[in-house]
Amino acid sequence: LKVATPVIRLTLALMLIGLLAAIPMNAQDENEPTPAPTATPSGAPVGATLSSVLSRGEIICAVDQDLIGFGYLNPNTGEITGISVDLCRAIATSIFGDSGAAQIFLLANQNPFDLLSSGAVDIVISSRVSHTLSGDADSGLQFGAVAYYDGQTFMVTGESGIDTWEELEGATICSVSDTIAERNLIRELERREINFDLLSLPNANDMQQAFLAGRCGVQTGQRSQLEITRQRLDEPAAYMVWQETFTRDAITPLYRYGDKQWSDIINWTIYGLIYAESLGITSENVDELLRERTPDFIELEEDYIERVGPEIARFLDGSIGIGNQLGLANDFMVEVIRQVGNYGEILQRHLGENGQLPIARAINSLWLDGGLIFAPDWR
Amino acid sequence: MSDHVHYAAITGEKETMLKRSLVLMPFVLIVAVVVTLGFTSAGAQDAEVGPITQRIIDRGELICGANGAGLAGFAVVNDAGEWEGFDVDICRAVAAAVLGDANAVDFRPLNADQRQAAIQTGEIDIMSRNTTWTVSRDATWGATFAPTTFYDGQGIMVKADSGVTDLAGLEGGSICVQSGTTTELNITDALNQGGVDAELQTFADATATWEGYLSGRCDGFTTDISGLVAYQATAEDPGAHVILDLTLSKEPLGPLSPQSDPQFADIVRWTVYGLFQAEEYGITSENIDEFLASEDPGIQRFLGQGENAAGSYFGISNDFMVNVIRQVGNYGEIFDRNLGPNTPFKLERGLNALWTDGGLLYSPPFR
Repeated sequence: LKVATPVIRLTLALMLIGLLAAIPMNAQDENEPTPAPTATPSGAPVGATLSSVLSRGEIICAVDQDLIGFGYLNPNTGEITGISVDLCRAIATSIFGDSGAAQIFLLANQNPFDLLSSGAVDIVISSRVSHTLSGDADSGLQFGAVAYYDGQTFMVTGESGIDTWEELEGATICSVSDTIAERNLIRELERREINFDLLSLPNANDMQQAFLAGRCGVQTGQRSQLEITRQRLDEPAAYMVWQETFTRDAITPLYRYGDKQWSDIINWTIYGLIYAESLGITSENVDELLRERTPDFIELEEDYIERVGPEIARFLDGSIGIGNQLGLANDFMVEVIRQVGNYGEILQRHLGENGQLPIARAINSLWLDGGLIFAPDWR
Repeated sequence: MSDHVHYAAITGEKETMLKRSLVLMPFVLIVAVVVTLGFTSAGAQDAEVGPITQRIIDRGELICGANGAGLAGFAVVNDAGEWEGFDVDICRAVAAAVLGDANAVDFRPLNADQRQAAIQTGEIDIMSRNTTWTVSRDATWGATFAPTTFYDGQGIMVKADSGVTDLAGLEGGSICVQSGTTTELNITDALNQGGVDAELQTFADATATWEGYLSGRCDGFTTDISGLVAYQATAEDPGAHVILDLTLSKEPLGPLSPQSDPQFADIVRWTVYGLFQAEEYGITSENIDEFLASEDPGIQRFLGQGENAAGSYFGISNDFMVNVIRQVGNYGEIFDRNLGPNTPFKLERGLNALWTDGGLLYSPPFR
């Protein structure tokens, strides 16, 4: 498959662009005159991406459409929901103060990298795109803050009761043939010196059928996707998905490189959601934590700081807040939390007990609770 | 134009689809074309380097902004005139990655106020100087922050012979703290939350606080852990004091580089990740030669052995991590050498443990 010459390579590139162009997209017409961007609240210099987003009046995010909990188009209601969607809405709120200022682009079979390069979308938040060394090496694109940690693991039948590595000895494990997941599986069990029988199926559907028919007691996949599968089964309780994972995959926003302001807005919105959770600020209580302002009374700054503490004050207040450093309103996180909630609320909404897909938070807990979810300082 | 396809591990259907290259459905063709393009660069050995990497190579030296005042355990000039410490080793690791030589570093002493200008003017290539990653620095310094290398935070020091091991052990005792600081607020909060009744002795400046503790006016002394380490080093008998294994606030410290060269920022980022990953694989400066022959494809890729692209993605030596690990060691070795059990500080890993050991150090996959 090696491409021989630059000319052929260019031809292929042009073909690709042509094919992509044939897919209806919501990209801006390049020939259309771009209206002057509105000033940011702070008057800070506006970077290229923010400028185009401001003139469009909304951001465009590409998300999955078939992964319940992450990015899912409900075929009955037409509603698109999931963590990726909420992150997109949070970023839209940071910029416009309105979670509705987000256009959701559903990923089908397009290459997410080309969607970004062509300017068709501003951000990709997909479970299928993982931060890797080779990904970072792509000079045109950049990965942002980790929004969700995932990884490969096992689903087992309750009957088999396999929940430790030792018990995998001699088990029959189903996987999809010639996939990265299958290679990961073989490598991991070799490394652990566990003997097993591999039942290799041509596709995910066949793997699922084989598993349900009892041809294997174990199947392997991403933890979140195995949970999705399990909960769609007739008898979810008869199956179990391991908490422990043996590969590392994370949901990280992907965007065009080189526009530091754009990358800061995306990442500090995610960090803001995490920081809010760590401070106990929720969509329910955020209004009580604001500085009191009525037509004839403004709470003194020192009284306010005394009441809520310096961290919450710096995070939420319009005059001592620091959002202007990012080219946003000083108190931009207030609307984000009001309209979308904090990080924990987003997870709870989609993966929690009341969500469509209950998955234990485990490593997606805050660092305070033994997880990996961490935000740098809001100073 | 993207040159690579990067899908998460479980992309079984997609990968299988690629095999059926004769299927005439447009989307399959698109994916096939992208993969074709990707393959041409996957093994490329000579990606163009960015301006900062280029000038480091031309000069044969990495210019590293370091703590000029000296910070025990992190950056000090020893009796032989050599820089040493945790932050210093991070710069040495990057020099080993880019130049293959951990000693090819020109350390530039910086005080706290000089940091922003040094990064903005490009006077330095990298800064590794106990700098907290904050929103305002990220947005206004013209810098890209690398992954956090040291999760600092407010800690508590007690006398080793007191037998105190946690906050509750200070019940009925007293703690020396500088007045009017967030440090004072944090300790007040922590005592309230933990229901611990201890008296706070406040002092106007940092040195007076430390001397108050040394003179026995309090049972405990609180400030940032990196500060506790520095004070401990100045004590007559450093071993007479211990830093408790707890963190009352967070201060993520890490290296940063000018945002004008995102590719160099990637080199710094993946060198730091590589230090974490090496520890996770158990690869050390001592045993690395055994791993060079490893048949584990993950380790082969990580060490840039065989056909696998690693450093070449960034225009540096494909086996850059071999140089880093051989000359500087993995993260755990760096931590232990400067702050660990064989140093006067005997710092616990705490949040600075690998994610697999309950800490926060996590590397994305090297693939």
